[in-house]
Amino acid sequence: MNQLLRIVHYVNQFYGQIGGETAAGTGISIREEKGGLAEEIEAKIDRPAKVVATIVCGDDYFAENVEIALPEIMKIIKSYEPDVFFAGPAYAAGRYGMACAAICTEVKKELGIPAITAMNEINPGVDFGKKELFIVKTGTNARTMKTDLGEMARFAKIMLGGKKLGLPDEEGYFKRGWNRSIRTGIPTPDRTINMLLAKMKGDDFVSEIELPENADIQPAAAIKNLKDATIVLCTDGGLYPEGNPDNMPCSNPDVFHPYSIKDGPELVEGEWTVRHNGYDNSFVLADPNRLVPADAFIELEKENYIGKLHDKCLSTTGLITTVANSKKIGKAMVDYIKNHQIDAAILTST
Amino acid sequence: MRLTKQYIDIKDVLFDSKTFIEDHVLHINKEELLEYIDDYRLRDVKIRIAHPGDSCRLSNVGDIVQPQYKVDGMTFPGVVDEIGSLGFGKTIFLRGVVVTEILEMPTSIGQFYDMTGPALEYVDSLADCIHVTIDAHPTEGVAKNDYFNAMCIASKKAAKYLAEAARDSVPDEEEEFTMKRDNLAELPRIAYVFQIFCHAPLTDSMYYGADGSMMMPIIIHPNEVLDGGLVCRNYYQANNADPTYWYQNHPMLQGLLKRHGKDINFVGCVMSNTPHEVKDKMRNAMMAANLIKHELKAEGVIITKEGGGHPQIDTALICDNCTALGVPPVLALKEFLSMSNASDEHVIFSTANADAMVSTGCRETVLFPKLDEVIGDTPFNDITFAFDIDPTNEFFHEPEGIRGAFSQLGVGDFSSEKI
Repeated sequence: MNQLLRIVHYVNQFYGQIGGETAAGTGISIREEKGGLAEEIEAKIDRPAKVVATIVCGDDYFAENVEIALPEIMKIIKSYEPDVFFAGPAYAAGRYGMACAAICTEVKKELGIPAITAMNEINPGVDFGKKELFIVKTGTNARTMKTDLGEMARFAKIMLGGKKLGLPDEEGYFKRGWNRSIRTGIPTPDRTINMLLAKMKGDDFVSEIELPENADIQPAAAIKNLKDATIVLCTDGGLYPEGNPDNMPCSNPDVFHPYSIKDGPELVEGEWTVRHNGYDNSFVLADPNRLVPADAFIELEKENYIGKLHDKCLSTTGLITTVANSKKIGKAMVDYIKNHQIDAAILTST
Repeated sequence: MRLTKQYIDIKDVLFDSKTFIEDHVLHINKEELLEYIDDYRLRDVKIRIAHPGDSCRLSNVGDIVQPQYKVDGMTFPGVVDEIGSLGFGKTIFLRGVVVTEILEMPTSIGQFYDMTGPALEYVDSLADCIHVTIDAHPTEGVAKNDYFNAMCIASKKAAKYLAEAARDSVPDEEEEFTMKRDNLAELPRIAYVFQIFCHAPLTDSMYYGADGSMMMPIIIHPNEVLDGGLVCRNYYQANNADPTYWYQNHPMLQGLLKRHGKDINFVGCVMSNTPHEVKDKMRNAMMAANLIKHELKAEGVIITKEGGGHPQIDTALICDNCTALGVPPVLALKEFLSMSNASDEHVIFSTANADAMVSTGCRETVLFPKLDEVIGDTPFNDITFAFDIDPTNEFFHEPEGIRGAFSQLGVGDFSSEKI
């Protein structure tokens, strides 16, 4: 542990002392000589450490040339073989924050070393990077630079020591959206009864699960003339062609896929499989038309009861799917429907 | 109604020429047991013993049952014995041993159980139990559901057979379960909605042997569940359903009974199912709330659920209905949405009435080690992508895959933290 800790630090043109907004287009440069921030980091890390390189890049340059700049910066970082990577603090500077979050995410993925950045909650870099990174919370002003670098160093020490960081509010990082199991020391029935007694009395209590936001969704207006309407069948029952060509999971997907259903008068047993753990699949496997009623709609099309059945069904798996993923799938389905001159959709569920 | 559970502590289990219990050792006459559980639908039935600490994995596990024998009545009525009332009198329970089904017909969601390693951190009191496993293949031509039904009955029969061996033993401990009726006037009236998960036969629990899928909400006495009145028959969604062991040792019911007369007046339990159809969900939620409000006259209510995603809708509907009737609810829920997915959502509903929720734990990924021995010939499935997991090797999986680990009845002291 007494070995010299190698640190690489990323800053923008301003903190690299090239200039302000007018210098934001400046490309990538490397400093090996010690600057003020590097000295501060070395002091705060509290063990033999050296900032072996400071990488400086203009915010506009990075934002406008991500495809070139990111691999180039990664190449430089790797060449210095760091033990830990710092970026920022970026405070409220949006492009700087995005660059810090993007580079840290890549460093964590490729090098597996602690990659630490810091910024303010209004910085878009927070949303970009918080799932993968522990981002130190800062104010909006660089006056707190010394404290913030100290916090970044503290995070690095905890991670380098192989320890887990505590909770977001205790440690001062942005909540990442991950969950982990814990033992509370209080039997669950007692915690539940205690919470109920508090709620009944009007005392304070902390719910252990937060509620997601509510959305009020209105169904579309009915179709007036079915004889001219093109109809698409959609399902969240997890029906896919045998072999599951798109490798759809049994729960919580974020995509749907269109599959051809008008090759014959009906869907044929054995040509379809189900990826959905939420119901007994055997009846659908025995007759896929009972989930996606292609047989009935092909018949209705023949009778000219409907104008046309769209030749593909839109399939996904609706099982413990988050609202975020459901929205994403729903929007993508709407795009598909609009692009294919479809008038109405029938959603079958399980 | 007063139930006395007579516990016999079992420290070891071995095969012998006679079935009896001596010095906390359960001796099993294997041939006699095999004859007792014989069923034309099962072939190549094997009984084996696995001890805690053994480097042993049970593959494709079905139900786990605590051996119990009702001295003065019916044991597992409607499943093993004829119909008879439960919840009062004396029942023998063997403590430290369970009967565990090993299934040889795969389902879409398989379960396993490890006798050592990280799996035991998730199963609370089950971790200390010796497993007497029943491993059987289906007789040729027997349909899946018939095979599962036969396994369900075989394990309950074995549980009765083993506990009956303690008929003349002196109990190591006796525990009384009763709901006293006096000196309760000052205490807050709290009821419990025990939401069970029954979709269809074989994806259900059975109450006195009845398929729960068409059940309407009913008021039950907690003792009936603790006395073996509810058994698990869920073979298609076992990951989200409790094994019978957790019904016999129902943590929320026991927790409520323990505080009854101290700081709460536990006024009773409504058991309510989780049906498929929206209409049925609405009806059940309405009826459950009406029973809570008008029959039990509760001032507050606790709701737990079994099952996965859509049963949360039933929970939320009961929550709304109770709130509308002026009975504030607290929900205790497992967080399903946490797997491989950073998300600010942890439940799939968003009613503002659910402002008080207890987490009973979350999904996460755990590395389960390679173990020396595997009981069971059939691999079990990965939950997300449904590929076969090789039980003879190490693998990543979720605690949800461990039979008995993912109970939603308040087992242990689990919660989650948001990081």
